[in-house]
Amino acid sequence: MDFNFEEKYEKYRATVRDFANREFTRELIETCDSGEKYPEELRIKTFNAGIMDFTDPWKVLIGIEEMCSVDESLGIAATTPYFGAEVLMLFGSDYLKEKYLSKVSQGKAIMGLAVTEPGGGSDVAGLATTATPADSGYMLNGSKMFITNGTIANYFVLLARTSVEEKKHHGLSCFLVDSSWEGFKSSKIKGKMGVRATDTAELQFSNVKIPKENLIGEEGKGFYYIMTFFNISRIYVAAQGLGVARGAINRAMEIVKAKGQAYSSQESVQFAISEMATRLEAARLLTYKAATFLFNFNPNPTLTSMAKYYAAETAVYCTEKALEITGTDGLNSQLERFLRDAKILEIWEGTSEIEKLVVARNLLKEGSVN
Amino acid sequence: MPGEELELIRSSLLDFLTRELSGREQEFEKIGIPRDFVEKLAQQGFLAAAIPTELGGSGLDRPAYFTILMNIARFSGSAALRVMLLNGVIYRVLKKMGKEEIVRDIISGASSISIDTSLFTKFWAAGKEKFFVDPQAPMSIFMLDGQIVLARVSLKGSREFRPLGFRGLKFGDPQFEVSERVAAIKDSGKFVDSLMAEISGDIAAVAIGMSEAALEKAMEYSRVRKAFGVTLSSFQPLAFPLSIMSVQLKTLREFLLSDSGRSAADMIGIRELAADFAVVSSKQALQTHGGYGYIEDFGVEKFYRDSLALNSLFGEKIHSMTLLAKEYYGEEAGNL
Repeated sequence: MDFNFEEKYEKYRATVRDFANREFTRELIETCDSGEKYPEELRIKTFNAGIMDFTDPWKVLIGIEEMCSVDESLGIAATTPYFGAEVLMLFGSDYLKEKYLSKVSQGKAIMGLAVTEPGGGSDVAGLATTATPADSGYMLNGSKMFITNGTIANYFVLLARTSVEEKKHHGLSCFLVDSSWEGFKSSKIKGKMGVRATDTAELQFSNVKIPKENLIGEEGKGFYYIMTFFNISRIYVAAQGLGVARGAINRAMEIVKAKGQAYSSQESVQFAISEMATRLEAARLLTYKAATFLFNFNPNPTLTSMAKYYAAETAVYCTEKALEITGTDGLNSQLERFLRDAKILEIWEGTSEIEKLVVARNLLKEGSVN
Repeated sequence: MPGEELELIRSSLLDFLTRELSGREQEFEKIGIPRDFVEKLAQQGFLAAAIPTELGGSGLDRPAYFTILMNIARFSGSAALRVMLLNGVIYRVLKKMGKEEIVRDIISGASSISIDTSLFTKFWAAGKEKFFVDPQAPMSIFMLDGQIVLARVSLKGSREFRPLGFRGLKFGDPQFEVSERVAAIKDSGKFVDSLMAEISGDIAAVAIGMSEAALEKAMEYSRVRKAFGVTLSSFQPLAFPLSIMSVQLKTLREFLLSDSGRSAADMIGIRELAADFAVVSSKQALQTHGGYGYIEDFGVEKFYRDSLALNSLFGEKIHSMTLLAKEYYGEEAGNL
């Protein structure tokens, strides 16, 4: 067993770290946070610097982890222009890949994933947006909620109900929807507690015509495609959690040291640092193990869900603990933003509750744990 | 105070808050606590609840004062903290300095005092900016060379912060010149230790009020919001913690309100329990709301932010825990 990355990945990690430390300036972080502004220039810089290499999933994971250790909000904003593209890569036709994915790969377009609905949340199969057969395609009606890149994405991978006859999750299909089509409307959601540099929106569809060739894969298989996607994206959310936890611990240690030796030698402060760092290490090992299964084309949903919820909870735990041991100094530092940003990790891409149910149900099916 | 009188105060306060604050919570957070609200609080006798009547306060006992803090905190943590800072911190500092007459001007709104939060901080990080509440005020209570100083100040500028919590209050790093040094407390360490113990019940009351509101919102939401065809209250991971937290909350509230004979140790202890509980319960409330809980307009996430800020604003946790250990052991303990 070797716990070290190949040298190329360590070099890559250092490159991304340098980039984030250089480009995520305090001014940019604060402007985007207070003004809820998406950092378009940073997205372009990240693309031009070749920072996010989507041909290598380990690089994506490492890149997300490193960027989020500097700032989660900017880190996510800079690394999600591809959000949802995996569905297209795995299940889309050559036509769709050629027409849409190529522009995204060239940094000329942004993607998004439109699954969650108002009042829907965890109950993906209960969604109400419909795509009914119409002349040479489908007619889309309904709405989506909390959609990342909602007002800036050019294309969305969207899940809609195509049949009410089938069992709930059998009647869903995925489509590639262009945000410039008539009847498509997006409204930015403002006032998020954290990740305020990311663009989040509500989408509404009123008789949006979808050409039949924009159906992704087979009709009625959409639910399975999205679940496959979640098995990938949850690893990346875990990586976000690792970055946030690391960033919080390091900032807390800086403040603890600045408070002087009389404070840093307090045992309860030292215990807090020890517990945060241990949880981070455990979350990292779990995430890398789940990622190893996934990136070797042998996904293990149990491990993936364990990694996602544990890394998310670790991020929240570490940011809370970091504030606790730094007191007012922490309140008046980047730690307060780390805390606001962290909480969403326990909610999006499957709440911690949903992940725990996935883990338990899989284990009970298997009958034992290794 | 007899139970009926306490209930009368509670119901008249709730009438007042429903009339003057309900529906304006977000406005308070975004633009600050309106001056007219503070004036009305003062007119009704809620602002200076625990300050003696001869100084223009209401002279209420601790259960009544805690009831007021709790109920205001249910609507606005910022407004509750405004009341708590006046009664718990400013008045006590002025009293120690023998300058309690000044509190009349604060109650009437004729003047105001900024508070340097490093007053509560035993271990201050080198080079960090100061973190004052009400940085624009014409008077200030601040730390200088180990003393707590009260002064009239001439403001030269102030960098405002957007704090994690209690955004209805203003926080910043003021630059000022002292135009008149009014008084000082020389043995500030000893005074701060006693102040920390004295305001423990106040902090607990604010924490309990915020927890009540957060849990109520979560219970209400879980009764109506459906997922997988049933209400959220059907799911054990939500119903069980919310239910047991309701019991914990009741225990904390009853312990605090029946405090007349409780020791300093008990009060510091309940501060720690209530402040930690506010974090846990408000986080659970946010989680119950899912993505909606993460949006300011739903009024849930502020309880989580405020409760974390409450834990940090009044000194390091180890400071109050050391005081607690000392009270229980009867000698220095837990000081390594």
